[in-house]
Amino acid sequence: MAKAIEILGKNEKELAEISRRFMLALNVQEMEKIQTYFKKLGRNPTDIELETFAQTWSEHCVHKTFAGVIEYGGKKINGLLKSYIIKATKDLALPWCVHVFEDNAGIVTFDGRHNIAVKVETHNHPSALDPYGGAGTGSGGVFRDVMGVGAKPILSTDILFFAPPDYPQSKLPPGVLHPKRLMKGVVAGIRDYGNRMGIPTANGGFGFHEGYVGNPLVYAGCLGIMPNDKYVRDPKPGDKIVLAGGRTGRDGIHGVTFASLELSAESEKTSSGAVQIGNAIEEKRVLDGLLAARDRHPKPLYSAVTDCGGGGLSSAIGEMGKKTGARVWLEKVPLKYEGLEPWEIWVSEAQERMILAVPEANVDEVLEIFRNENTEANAIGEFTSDRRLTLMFNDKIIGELGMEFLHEGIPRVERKAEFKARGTKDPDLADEKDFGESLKGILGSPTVASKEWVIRQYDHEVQAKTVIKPLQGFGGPGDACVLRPLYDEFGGIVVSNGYNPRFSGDPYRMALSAIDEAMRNNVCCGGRRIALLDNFSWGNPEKPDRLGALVEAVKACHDGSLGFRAPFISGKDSLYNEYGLGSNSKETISIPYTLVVTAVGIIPDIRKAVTMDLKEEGNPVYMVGETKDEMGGSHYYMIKRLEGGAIPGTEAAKARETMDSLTKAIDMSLVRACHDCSEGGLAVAAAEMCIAGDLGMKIDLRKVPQKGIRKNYKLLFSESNSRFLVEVGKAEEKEFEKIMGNSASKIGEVAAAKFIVTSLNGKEILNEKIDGLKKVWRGTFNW
Amino acid sequence: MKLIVILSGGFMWVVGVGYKDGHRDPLGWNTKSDILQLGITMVKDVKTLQTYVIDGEITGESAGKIGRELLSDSVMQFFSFDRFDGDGGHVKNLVGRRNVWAVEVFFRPGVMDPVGLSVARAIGVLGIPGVKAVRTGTTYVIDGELGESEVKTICEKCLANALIQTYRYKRL
Repeated sequence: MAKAIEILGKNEKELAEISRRFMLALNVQEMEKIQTYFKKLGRNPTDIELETFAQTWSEHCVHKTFAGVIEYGGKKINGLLKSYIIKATKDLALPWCVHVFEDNAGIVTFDGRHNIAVKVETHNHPSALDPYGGAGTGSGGVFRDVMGVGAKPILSTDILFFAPPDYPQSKLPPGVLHPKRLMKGVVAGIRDYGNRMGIPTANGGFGFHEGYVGNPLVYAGCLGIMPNDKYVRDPKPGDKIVLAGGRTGRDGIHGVTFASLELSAESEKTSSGAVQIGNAIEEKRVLDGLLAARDRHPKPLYSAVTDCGGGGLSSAIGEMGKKTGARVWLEKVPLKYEGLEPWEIWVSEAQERMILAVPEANVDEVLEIFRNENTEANAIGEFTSDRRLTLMFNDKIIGELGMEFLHEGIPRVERKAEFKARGTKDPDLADEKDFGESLKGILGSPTVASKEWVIRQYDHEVQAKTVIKPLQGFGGPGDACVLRPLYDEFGGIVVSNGYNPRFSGDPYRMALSAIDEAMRNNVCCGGRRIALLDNFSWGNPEKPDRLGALVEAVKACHDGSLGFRAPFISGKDSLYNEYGLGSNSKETISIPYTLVVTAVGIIPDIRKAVTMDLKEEGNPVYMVGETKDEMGGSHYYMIKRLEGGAIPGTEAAKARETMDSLTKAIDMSLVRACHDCSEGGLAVAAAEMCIAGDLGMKIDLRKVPQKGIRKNYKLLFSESNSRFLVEVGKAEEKEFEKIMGNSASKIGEVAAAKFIVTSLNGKEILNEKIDGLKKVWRGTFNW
Repeated sequence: MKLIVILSGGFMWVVGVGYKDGHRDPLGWNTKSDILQLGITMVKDVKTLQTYVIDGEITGESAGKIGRELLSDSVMQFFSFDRFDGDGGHVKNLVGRRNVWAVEVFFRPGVMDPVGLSVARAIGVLGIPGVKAVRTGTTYVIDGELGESEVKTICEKCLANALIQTYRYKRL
C-alpha cells in the first residue's frame, strides 16, 4: 500500500537526497515547490503522489528546457519551442495543417477525405543498454503515438547513429556495448517489431561518428492515415477510463526519469528496470481493436484515446484528464504477476497498452471488441468534473492531487546559454592527380556505404503500399520513399530525412542543412507541400555551451521553416545524451549535436514519382544548384583526417524556388532520374546513380555551376546544399532548361560502365569502372 | 547438458530447432563472424538451435508434434526434443565431434518473452492442452579449440546481454 514520505520541514539537502533515493530525478526547486504544495494541504505526500510528480515533471514529458527561460546573448528567450519553431508554423498559417504540436502526432490533410498523422521520437538510452528490446519498444511506442490520434500506421522509419562499426574493442569505455553489436541488435529490434506487426519499414537512415560510442541514437518514426472525420479528443466527465492491451508488470519503471540522467558505467546496474522487450503481436491486436472501435459506427465509440508511453498510466491519464479530473481504481489494472506496489502499477511502462475515454453507454461494446481481438480491456476509472486526480486502491484513497498544480505548478527552469563560433579556416589542399582512391574511401565509409544488409531484413512491402522503395535500380540508395496509402486513387505520400552531425560545429548551419537535405530528398522523388518534424538529440542542457548550440539550431529551424515555407508539425527532443569515460573522471562527453528533420510531402500522382538510378546511355546529366567552397564537415576531409573549412550554408528562399522548378519538371515527366548531393558531394551522388543504374557517367567539372572554386576536389566533394544531379530525356533537354532557367547546367551524359571526370584544366582526373566502385560501396556492411 | 532452471518445477520439455546439413544457418554464420572479429580465430563453426522450454503436463508424443508441426520447417530444419532434465537430447544431432562447446542463452526471469507467449498460445490452437508457459532461448554449438576463458569472452561480448539474459556453457 501507499506510504507517506516525509518531506515537510526538510531542508534543501535532505530534499535532494529524497529525490535521489527514490530515483525521482526532481531538482531542489521542484522538490521545494512540491513541499510548499503539501504544506498548504497540511500533510506529507504519499509515494504514489511523489512518483506522479516525478513522471509528469520529467524532462521527457514536459520538455523543461524547450519550455523554459533561456538567457542567451544578453536576451531572455521565453520558451524556445514557442518563440521559434511553433512561431514559424503559426506565421505560415497553412490551411493544410490540421493538428500541430498539440497531440501525440502531427496531423496534415491528405486528399480531402483523409489525413496523415506522423510522429518521430527517440529511444536512445534504453537502446544503449539493450539494443534489441530498446529499439523494438521504440518502434512500438511511436506506432502507438500514431494510433493514439486514431490513425492506422502505414510506415515505419528509423534513423540510427552509432560509432563506426570497426571501432577498436580496446578503446571502448567501460559498460558500453560495441557499436557493431549495438547496430545488429537495434536493426533486429526494429525489424522484428515492424515485420511482426505488419508495418513496412521503408525509410530510414544511418549516421556514424566516434562521438556516439557511449551513447547511440535511435530515432523511430511512424506515419499513419485516417479518415478526416474520425479524430476525437474530448473526454467528458463520467466517461470511463478503459485500459486496453498488455498486462502491467515492473517493466520500465523509472524509464522516463532515467532518460533525464546521463549514462554512466553504473547505468547497467541501476537502470535494469528501464529495459523492456516488446510484443508486436499484442500491439497488432490492440491496433485492430482500436480501428474497430473507431470504425464500427459512424462516430468512434470512444471520446478520446492516447497511448501509454513514458510515465505509463500516470502520464496518459494525467494528461487526458487535465481539464476534467480523473479517478482511478488501480486494483483493476490486470497484472502480469503479483506483488506490485500501487505506485509501480501507476508508473509502469509496460508496453502495448492504450488508454481510451469511453462514454458509459459504449463501454460494453468496446470491451467486447477488444475481447474479440484476443486482447484484454478493462475499465479502470472514470473522468470526473472536480479537476482532481484521485488514485484509489481497494476503496482507499492513496493519492489526491489538483490537476492544475500537477500540470502548471512546475517551476520553469531558467538556464544560461552561450555559443562560440568555431574557426572556419580551410586547410586548402593540393589537388590529387587521380581521385579514384578518395572516391572509394568515401563510398566505403559507413555513413555512405550500402545499407542493403539492413534494408533486406526489413519488410518494406507489407500492406502493399510502397511504390518507391529504399533500394532503387540495382540496389541504389533511394532519396525518399513513396507510399500509395489508398488503393483507389493515385495520390501518394513522400517521406524523407535530413541530418548531418558532421556539421555540428556550426549548429545553425547544421540545422538548416538538415532541413534542406530532408526537403531535397523529398523533392527528388516528386514530393511537394512538405511538412517537417524536428528531433533534437543533444548534450546536457544545463551546460551553457550545449544549450547555446541548441538555441542556434532552433533559430535555424525557425528561419528555415519560413524560408522554405515548410511548417514544422511535430517534434521531440532528447537531451542529456552524454556519457562518462570512466568512474574516476567526472568529465562527460556530449554526443555530436544531432538534429534529424523528417519531411512528409505528397505527390498527386505516384506514377510520376522519380527514382535515382540512371536509365539510359546518352541521356544528358544536369547539375542543379550552385557548388561553393564549403568543405567543412565534408566526408572528403573526414577520410583525409582534416578539420576546418566552412560548413555549408543554405539560402532557403532561393532553394525553394529551385525545388519548385524541379517539381514542375518532374510533373511534366522530363526527369528520368534525380538524386541529391549530400555526403560526398557531386562525386558520390554521381557514383551512386551509376551503381543503381548499372551504367556510367561522363562529366566535365568546367561546366559545374559554382562560386569561386579553383580546386577540383572542392567541386567533386564539397557538400554544398540545395543541389541535385538530374538525368533528363534526350528529347526533353530544351524544355528542361527552359523550366530550370539558370539554376541548372548540363555537365555531362550517361555513359556505359565507367565514371569519368574531366578536371578544370581539361585533364581526366577520374576513370573508374562502376563494378569496382560497387564492390567497395557494398563491401562495408557485407555482414 | 542441463538447461538453466528458469521455470519453477513441474514437468518440462525442451525442443531444439536447427538447420539441416546443406542449409545455411544465418545466425550461426553471423555469430561466427562476430567471434572472429573479437580476435578469437580458432572457431571453425557455429551452429544454432532455437530452443523452447515447454512447461506443462504433456506427453512425449505431443512434444514431438509441437516440434514437427509448430516450431520447425521440415524442408530446411530438423528438430529434436528431450525431457528438461534429460541428457541434452535436443543438441544430439549437432554433437559427435570433439572440442565442441554448447552455450545456452535465455532471458532472465521477469523479462518479457513475446515469442514464448505466442508459442504457448499456438500450442493450445494445435489442440494440446496443459501447457502453462513457454520460454525461448538460443543454444549455440561452437566448434573450435577453445578454452573456458575464451568461451566466457564470447558469451559476454557476442551472445548474451547480461542485463536481460543469462548464459550457461558446457564442453560436450
